Amino acid sequence: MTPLPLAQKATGWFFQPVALGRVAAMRFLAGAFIWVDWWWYMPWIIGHRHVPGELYQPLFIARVLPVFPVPNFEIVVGTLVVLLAASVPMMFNKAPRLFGWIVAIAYFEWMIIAMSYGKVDHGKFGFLILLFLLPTMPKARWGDRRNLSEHVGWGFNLVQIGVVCTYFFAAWAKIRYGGWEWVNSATMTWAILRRGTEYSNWLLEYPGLLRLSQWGMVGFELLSPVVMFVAAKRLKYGIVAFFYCFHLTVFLAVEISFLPHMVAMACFLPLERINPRELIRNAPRLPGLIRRKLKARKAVPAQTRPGEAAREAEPAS
Amino acid sequence: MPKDVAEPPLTRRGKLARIAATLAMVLALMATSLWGADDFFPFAPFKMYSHAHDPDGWANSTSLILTDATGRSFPIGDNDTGFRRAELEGQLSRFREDPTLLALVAEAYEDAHPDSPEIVAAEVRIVSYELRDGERTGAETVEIAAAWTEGDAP
Repeated sequence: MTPLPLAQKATGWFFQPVALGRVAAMRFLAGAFIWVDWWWYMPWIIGHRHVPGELYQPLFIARVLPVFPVPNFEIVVGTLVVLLAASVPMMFNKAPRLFGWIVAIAYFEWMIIAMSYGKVDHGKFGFLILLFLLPTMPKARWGDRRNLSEHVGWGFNLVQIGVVCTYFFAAWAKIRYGGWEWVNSATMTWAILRRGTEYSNWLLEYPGLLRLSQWGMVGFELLSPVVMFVAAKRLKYGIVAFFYCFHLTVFLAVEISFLPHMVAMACFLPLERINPRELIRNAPRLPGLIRRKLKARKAVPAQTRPGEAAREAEPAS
Repeated sequence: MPKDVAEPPLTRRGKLARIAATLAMVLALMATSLWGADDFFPFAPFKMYSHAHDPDGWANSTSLILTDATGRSFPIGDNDTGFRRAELEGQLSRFREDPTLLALVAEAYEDAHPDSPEIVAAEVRIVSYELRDGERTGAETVEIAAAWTEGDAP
């Protein structure tokens, strides 16, 4: 069978190889988030160790797969200990596949403990997909831009689809539950009344602006899949930067940060370009490097030769 | 430093399996967003702030008030028992049906505060505020959705 050119193009895009350095960076970010999560982002989960089992309401998945025990003190604390212990070697690339699986399974159980008492929080889908894909990816070094993998490319594509779906289906849910009038409702007013900050309380006096922000939100959520198909890298990173700015704004306004979602979203970025060792080695010269880059950008074509510029910088140490 | 391991390109079967997995994920998200409920976590409709709030309606606030053996009554926050307010609201119909379930919340509080006096009573109080153009008019109603006192049959 000869695939159609369009199909060939689509699979080419879908399995576009990605450098392994990005895997190392994402492992570090995922592990770092787990260490922040339990005491800062969702500190209430560990509180469930006190709650009697009668108030546990198993979710669909726990009813279908009867492997999740009813949480009690030992299970809640034990899950957290395993999760934290396994995330350290994963972060620092020691047997990252084995510990990656342990982290993925422990974090999933941690989410079951969190969400099975009558309230489900959203916005963690991309992060969960990321945790389950990382252990399928090979061991990797920071800054490795030479070794490429189709599997990794697909895996991060899947995480990106998960991230984009979170936006797209969030708009869908607003229309399903709030109706089309959601965009003109008082939802943002209500949110700021409940959780407003010094950065957002002034907005209560401008309900028109809040309504406009609701239109903007639904608009960008429905359009978010575009980011998957943008070929121009600068535009793509620009859209991702816009997503991050959106979350920063929401955090300043109502102190909701969707942090795990933001961690998952990092796989849009060329993190394989980061090499911490090189960064540390170059740190003392960094201001000079940046200045030279900016100069080079302004003066096209570059008017200083690299040899001359290097002389200005202080030698390291 | 680990040796560079050359990754073989994906086979045709490998690619098909991955495409199938991707389609399955998107379809599951789509289906649960259309018809699903929170029960389908980690799928489920992503309904953060998806309800439309009527600026001319009623806004309510639920609180849980415990009374200890010394007679002191106090509202509790999310961190006092580990059972959050949103979770209480999520299971409110159970508490309305069987107020003795509040004994479990009291138990959670005692478990989290072993040195505090025993809890002898608990109630779920819902205060509703009337809104006009998104502002409180001052009118409010108070409802006791469930109440329990030590000694009620569990």
